[in-house]
Amino acid sequence: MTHLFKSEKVQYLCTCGSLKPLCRTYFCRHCLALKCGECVFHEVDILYCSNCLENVPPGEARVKKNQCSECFECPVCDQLLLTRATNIQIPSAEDPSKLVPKKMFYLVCGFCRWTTREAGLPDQPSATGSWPDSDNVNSARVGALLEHYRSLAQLDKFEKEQKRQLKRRSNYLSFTADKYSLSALAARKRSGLPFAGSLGMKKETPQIYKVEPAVASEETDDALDPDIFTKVLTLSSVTTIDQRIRQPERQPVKSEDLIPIHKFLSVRRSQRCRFCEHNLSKPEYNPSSIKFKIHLGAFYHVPDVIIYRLARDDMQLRLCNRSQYPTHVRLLSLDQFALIAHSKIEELERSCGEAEKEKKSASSMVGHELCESPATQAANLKTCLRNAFKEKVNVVLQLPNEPILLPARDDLAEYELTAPQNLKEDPKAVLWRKGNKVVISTPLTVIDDELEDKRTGFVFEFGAVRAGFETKEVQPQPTNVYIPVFISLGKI
Amino acid sequence: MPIHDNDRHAVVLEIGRAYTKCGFVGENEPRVIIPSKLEGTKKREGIYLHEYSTKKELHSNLVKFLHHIFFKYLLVNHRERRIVIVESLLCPTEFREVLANVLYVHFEVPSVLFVPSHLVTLYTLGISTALVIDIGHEETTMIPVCEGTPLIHAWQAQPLGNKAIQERLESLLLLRAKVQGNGGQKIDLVDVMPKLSRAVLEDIVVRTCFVTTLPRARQLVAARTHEDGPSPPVPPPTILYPLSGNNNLTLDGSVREESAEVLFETDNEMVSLASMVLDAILASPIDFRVPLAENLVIIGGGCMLPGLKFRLLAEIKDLQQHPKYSSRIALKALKVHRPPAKSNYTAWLGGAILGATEAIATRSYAREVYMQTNRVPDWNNLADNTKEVDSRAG
Repeated sequence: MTHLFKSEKVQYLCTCGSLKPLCRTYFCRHCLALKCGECVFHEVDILYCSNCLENVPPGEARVKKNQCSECFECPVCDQLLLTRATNIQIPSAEDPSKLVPKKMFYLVCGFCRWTTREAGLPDQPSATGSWPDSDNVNSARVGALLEHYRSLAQLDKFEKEQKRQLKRRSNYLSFTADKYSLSALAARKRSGLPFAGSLGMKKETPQIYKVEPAVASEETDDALDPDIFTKVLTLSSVTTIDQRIRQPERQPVKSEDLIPIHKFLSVRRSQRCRFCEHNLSKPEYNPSSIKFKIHLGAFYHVPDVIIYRLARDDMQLRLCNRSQYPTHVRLLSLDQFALIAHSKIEELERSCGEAEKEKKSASSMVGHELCESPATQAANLKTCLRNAFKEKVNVVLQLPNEPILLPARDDLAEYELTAPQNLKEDPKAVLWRKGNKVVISTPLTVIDDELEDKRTGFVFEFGAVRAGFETKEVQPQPTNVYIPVFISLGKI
Repeated sequence: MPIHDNDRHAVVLEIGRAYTKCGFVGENEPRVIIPSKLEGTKKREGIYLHEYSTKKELHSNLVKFLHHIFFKYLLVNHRERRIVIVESLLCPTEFREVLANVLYVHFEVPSVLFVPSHLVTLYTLGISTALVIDIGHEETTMIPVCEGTPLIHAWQAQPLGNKAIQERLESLLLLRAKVQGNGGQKIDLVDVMPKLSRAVLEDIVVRTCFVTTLPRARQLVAARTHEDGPSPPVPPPTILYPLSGNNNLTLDGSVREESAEVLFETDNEMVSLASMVLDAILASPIDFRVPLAENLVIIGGGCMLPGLKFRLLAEIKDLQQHPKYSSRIALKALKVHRPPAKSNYTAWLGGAILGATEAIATRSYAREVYMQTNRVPDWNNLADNTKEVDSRAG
């Protein structure tokens, strides 16, 4: 679905200054601003295996090194391995002379036909969980080194602490001794300190965990096998670098040393606004569910624009409102926007000064207060204005002057045949409307013919309801939001 | 929610020229090793992180790359993890600054600890003096570490790494190799494709090339330079390398053997891997020269080519007899360490060991400080690298 709407032609200016198609952005309903994937915080929500869809708690995932214990991938081609069952004849327990069938399992790659038998791994009596894990042969040595350096760091910290304490005390003593000419003993008595030894000494000095330093040898471990000069190399018996680094601790050179690889877990992320830290998107906990608990995709909150028809001097745009509130949309040229923005910024800064009198500093504000504070709004408008004028535009549009009503999304309206006709609208500007969709006419004029690729831009002004107000009994009061939109027209 | 909580292990990152190693502190190996590039699309190939033209481009690439690492491989919230960056002391300042900016400002990590790769390599061995030889993709760097202090003035760096081998391989192939089609006819490779992609070259080097022995290498040189000299050694058998479709590349044994020779060829300036080792030892204090030679540590993905370490020792022994060095250096023995890790992530392991200790709390550079100063300390900046600052920090 995203692919259908992911048009690179119409792009919205994100708060961070980058241009993104609408379906690639979020709309923070607290800040009333667009946020793209690069200017939100991502957080790990749940870990799951994308094959068996099992939810893995973080603690367990850490122990298992983010791997699924049941699912395996082919070490040759990364495809999922399938479990195959086979019957073998084994001597029965009661009567060794008789043979009884027994089910055994092995893994096979459905894509490249690699099997665990190729790796020399014996078939397993159970379908999952009994395959050998690759153990790092050096883990004992690394563990000892870790212990050694940990104890060293402990000692280092301890000594530093002692030094600091001694320093402090000696300074104090010398000061008192000088001023009142007291002996060190009397000073100690006075300050209630013990006579000998320091406070720090009460703690035991940490012991260093000894480790044997490594011993170098004159022999290297990679002397060439003389066969290399005479034997024909079979290419398929040597692993590629990708196959090697998929098993970092083993890095097998020969294909026969490859072993099945545990499937890596996937992660489901939630997104948070960088500014106000509200959640923008939060998926449901169940890995098999594709629903969201919170989903503030801009697609559902900001009017969508597509090019409906394009000719040399005429263009028609289709606007669509997918939010649950009806809204009045006004299209402003960039210059009009600059005028409005400047007056707004002035107004906001004035009220900002008043707010300061009430001694409300920005640092003490949280959540709603921060988003709604005039200072924040003014700053947002300023960056928006600055970023909008960085974009190059060589076509101007003749935009409708009147605000256009975009009704709320109503799934039933899709089936109604007649459009409501009681709206007083300029028929030259608004060509037709149906449900929450409107087609408007925006004749265009090329102002700069230098570049072949033509580009135009305008600013959306629409009313959006700040989150948290819907529940109140009062009618939600929409706030005007300004979002610059840029359209690549190509060659016209 | 204390960040030094045991549940929130710090993340260790080593962003190399070719591969990035990432994982958590206190673990034996990185979780994943991935190419240091953005994944390509159908239209264009992936871009390597270090191949950038502007700072802005690097910034946006790093944001995408690290996002990928955090949410696809490590699966952690970056805002609650300390970060340990294992980097070379010779890392470009620009890259380091942009990386710090991305981590502190975009990802809002609580703290970052930059550790020098050559130094932390010794944490995997439990020793304090060694000559660390890092053979990477782009270049080979050597820094002697004496009693826990890297001697920066004795550093050596040359563009002798996997990239040099790949370039040599490409030129040799274009010169000699033939492409064998379905019908068995042979065409010169140059006529089929004037350039080979990095992925193909890397694959050929990794799977088929090796570093030959010293006597064979000498024989090769003698045969090439003297017309009536000895005949070259019998090359390894030719193999067919599938190129694309029905085309097979005839991979000559001599090409497989000679590609890596670029590391040991001495030009007029006499610069090769072996001379770099001796130069680094010579630039170190005289009392440390013998211990350094007896504590060589060879790390980096480049040294995983079969026969490389063996050859390097033989070359150094041979070069000691050269008049340039014989009068100035007398080494008893050359000894190589075997770190408890694969060579390509040895430095990462050092960072993971260091990061698991108390040092991560005491030595990290916190986000609050960065937001005030807008810079990270660097050894080559006099503002950080003076005695007063050191004693205050201690």
